[in-house]
Amino acid sequence: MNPEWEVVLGLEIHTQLATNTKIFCGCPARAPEGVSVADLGPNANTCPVCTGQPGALPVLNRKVVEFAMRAGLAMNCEIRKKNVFSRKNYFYPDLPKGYQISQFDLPICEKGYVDIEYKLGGKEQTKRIGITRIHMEEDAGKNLHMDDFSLVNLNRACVPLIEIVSEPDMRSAEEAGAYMRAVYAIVTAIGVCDGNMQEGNFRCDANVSVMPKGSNKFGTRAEIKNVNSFRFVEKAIEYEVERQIALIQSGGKVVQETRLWDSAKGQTFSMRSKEEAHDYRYFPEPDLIPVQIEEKWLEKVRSELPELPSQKKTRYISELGLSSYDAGVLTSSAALAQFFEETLKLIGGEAKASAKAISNHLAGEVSRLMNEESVELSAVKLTPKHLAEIVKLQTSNVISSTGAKTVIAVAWKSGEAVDVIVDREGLKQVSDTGALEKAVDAIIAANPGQVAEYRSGKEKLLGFFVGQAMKATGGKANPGMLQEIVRRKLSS
Amino acid sequence: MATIEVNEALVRKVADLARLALTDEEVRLYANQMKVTLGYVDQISKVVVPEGTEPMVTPLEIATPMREDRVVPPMTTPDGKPKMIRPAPETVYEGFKVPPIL
Amino acid sequence: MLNEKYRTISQVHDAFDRKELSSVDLTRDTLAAIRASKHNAFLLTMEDRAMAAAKMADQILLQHGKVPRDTHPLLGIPIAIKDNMVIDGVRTTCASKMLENYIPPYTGTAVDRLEKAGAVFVGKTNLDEFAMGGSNENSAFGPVEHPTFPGYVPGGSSGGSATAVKAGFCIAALGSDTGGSIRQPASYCGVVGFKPTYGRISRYGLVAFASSLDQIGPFTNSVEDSATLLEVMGGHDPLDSTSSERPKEPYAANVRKKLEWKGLRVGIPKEYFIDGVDPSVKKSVKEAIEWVAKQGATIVDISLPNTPYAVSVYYIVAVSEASSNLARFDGVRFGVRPPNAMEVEDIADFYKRVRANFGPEVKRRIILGTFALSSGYYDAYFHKACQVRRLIKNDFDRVFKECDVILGPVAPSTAFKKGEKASDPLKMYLNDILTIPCNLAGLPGMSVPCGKDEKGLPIGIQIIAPQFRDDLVLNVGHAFETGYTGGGR
Repeated sequence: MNPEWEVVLGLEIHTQLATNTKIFCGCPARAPEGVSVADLGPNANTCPVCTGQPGALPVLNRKVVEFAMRAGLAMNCEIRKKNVFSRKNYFYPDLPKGYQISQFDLPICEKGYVDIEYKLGGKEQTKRIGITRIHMEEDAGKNLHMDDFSLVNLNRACVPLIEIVSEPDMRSAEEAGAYMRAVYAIVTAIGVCDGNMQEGNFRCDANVSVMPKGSNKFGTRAEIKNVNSFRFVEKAIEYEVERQIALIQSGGKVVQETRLWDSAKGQTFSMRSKEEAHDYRYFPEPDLIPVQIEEKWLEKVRSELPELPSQKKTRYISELGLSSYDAGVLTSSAALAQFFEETLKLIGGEAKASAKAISNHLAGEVSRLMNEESVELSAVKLTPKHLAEIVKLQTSNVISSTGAKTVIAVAWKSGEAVDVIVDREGLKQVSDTGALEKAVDAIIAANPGQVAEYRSGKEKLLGFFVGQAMKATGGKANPGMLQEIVRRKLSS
Repeated sequence: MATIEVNEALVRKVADLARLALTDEEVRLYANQMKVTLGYVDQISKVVVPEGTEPMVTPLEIATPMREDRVVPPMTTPDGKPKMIRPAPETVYEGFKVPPIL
Repeated sequence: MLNEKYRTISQVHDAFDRKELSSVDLTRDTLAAIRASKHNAFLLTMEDRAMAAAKMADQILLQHGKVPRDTHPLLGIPIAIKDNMVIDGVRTTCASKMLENYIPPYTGTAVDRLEKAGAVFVGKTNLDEFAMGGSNENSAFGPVEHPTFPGYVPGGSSGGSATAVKAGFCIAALGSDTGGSIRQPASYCGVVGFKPTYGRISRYGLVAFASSLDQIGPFTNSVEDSATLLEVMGGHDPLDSTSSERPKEPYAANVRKKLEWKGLRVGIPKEYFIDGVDPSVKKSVKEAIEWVAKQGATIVDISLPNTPYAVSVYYIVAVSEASSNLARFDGVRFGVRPPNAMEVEDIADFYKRVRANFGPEVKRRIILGTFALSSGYYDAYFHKACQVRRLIKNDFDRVFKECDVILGPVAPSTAFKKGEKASDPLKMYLNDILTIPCNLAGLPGMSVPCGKDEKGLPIGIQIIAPQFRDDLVLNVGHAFETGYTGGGR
């Protein structure tokens, strides 16, 4: 980062709510069990209300208000008991009524914060990021671009959203990434969002501006829209910051505009074809009565608030003895935390004993595979039952940790039973001391020179013997046992 | 409220916001009519509104109507297509066809 | 013609009971009359559906021996629907080129309730385009002729429905009232027109003009029929967030209850009798009020001081809401696309080509409304207008402590000649000065015929009551209608 410049970042996150129905009509908000949203025929999920037929009227889904309250409470916001929907008027083909029902001057949640953890220069940092507001609104449909026409699909129109607007408190791409991850962890943990970023459940717009270091006047900001992955948000911000600095240094001016991130080219590019004045002409929605939340309802939601990621993390560290890093990874998404806790339950016995082994795999191999394939846990065939059996086999030395990783990778795709995979891939460790001693004896006998060198002080040669013995057993020796046997035999 | 300048530029700007195409003739006509109408409705600027008067957005003072989160199955026509595309001017594969966007 | 003999629901039902008339006969006769008429009151006749419903009605009649009034209060009654209310599978145009081919995929609640009560829908009536107008001269499909005075306007925007009832093309018709669009044509044509309390009848299925002002209401030849229709249509609708959960009253049973005039305090607003109101209208209404006083009611002089601002408030609030409500007419999911609509460089031009389907009055109001909401003008126009609206409502709240019901004229004049006011929008807007306050405050208001002017053109008296006192409006209306012998009505 250029030290002469300071970066000012604000994030607007749109979260689709995990309700059964849309916000203003009874159409399903998600695809039926077993069907992916992408496979639903265009406009199969519509009614007079969400297609904006003349004479149709909106009716508010109670669950949406409840989820918005939950999110607000989880992010330390003040809940505005009387909040109002407003119309945001503009023309776009995926906006059926020609206006979006949103909230403008009286949103449901305000003045909250989220605490984030991130690394700066190798050091762990914490920071509090302010949340200006959270409000409820309806999603628009989707446009599909063909060669010389576009197609509008309104299945997604009227799906409930909450928009979480941060204060411009972030000063680096790392902070922005950490904030986005923290919000994701929270909304999935409290059950208001399914967390499927591929399907657009969680979308982020980043407002980026730069100013000379020491200045207190914010620069003009550009908005990068619809970034749907943590990695891309950091990359896009980094690129945009460079772009703006270069522009200003060469005498240009940053224009207030909307930009998109092109991940293939690694660049942001301007969305507008011409200067567009957005006068949304907000006014209170006359078809909806202002939302009045009773104190009783608010208290009920507050008392039923599920465990937050920060609380869960603290618990994992203190009760289960996990490291801060591992606990952090497990609580970064509700799906991971749930997988962890289910696996723990299936293994039973002393929780602390297996917690470390499970978290090693989740934070390690499982996370690696998820990132590599850009996939959600719900989409893969690996289940907590699999992982529980794998860890059990590891604990009883039937398979090594390497073997465990292999089973994970295979079950990930095939979903086969663990013992089937272990047998077929020949992963059973040799833990029979007799066989191992025999193998070690043979290696020692065949390498007298190295034995002598070891005994005269070259301790590093231990690895050579262990490696050779391992090779002799076809890679199946229990590494821990093998090492112990080699050391014992070499020292005697 | 100062009497705002109702001129053709304003009418064109507003018409554009509302996606209405006006001929020069229409712009002139509407500008004149708007001048007269606004000249009349401007009288509300003289009304002294007592401090704290809540603007009235609806005549109803009722508790917020909300509905349960229960699915109402989408309607289909007898041939199994979504009913809501029936009035559409042009569809392709059951999507609403429009000129290319962006 | 049958329609000269049978003017009310009870007349028709009694005839059904006595077997001197069948629904099929009545319907066939009505449809023929509509076909032969030159009033242009109908944009669509629903011949097949009407005859099917009539046959069904006659079946039910046969089964029960007499009309089962409890379960089918509208059995076999020919009713017309203003063409801004949707019926699944039946073309709804809102009198606009924009919707010339629109076949709605659903039915509105109020209309559905009528049909379930046995009503026979004979057709969709003409109106001012998108309900914007006061003379029915703004229809894209030609103006409507006054039912009894050729060359005169029937009033608007529900001109078609008012004419249809007066001329006998139906026993009742639905209209919609945003600033007077039921009461004013009722007054001009000499029929009963009722706008219920805002929220009494569901708006689901009514193509929205101004969401916080629109209400569906009946045109009938008798106040009693108005009560019947209100009872059938009214009541909570879970599909309309602005429909009240307050339980319906048995309006039809109660309307005939003897009204105790003595002790009834009748408020006469001085602002409704200003110079702008025609002398003949004032005279007719004052005579009616004198009769009411003679029956024992207490006449109370009241003042609604913010009345002069009502038209201004309305022409800011209503057009603002309308500019937003009409944004959905973009040719994407419904509506008429001009042949060249798809050949554009910019999607904005696609919208402009489609929205050229709007008539001049609609465009005028969209422009005004867009302006009043736009950045820089919102505070001075829309926001301020909403505050003044509150003051207008407060006026009513205050006077209803001194009186039970308000009486006054409906419109400053009687029906005028076609073309007389068309070129002057402001003049047209000022016609609504006496009906608008009711919509702004959300109160129930009715026009009941009370007299004629020198030419013989009808004059109506307006009855206004507090919110959800629709029963009181109906009672007073019925008592007046059945008791008053003056006015040469």
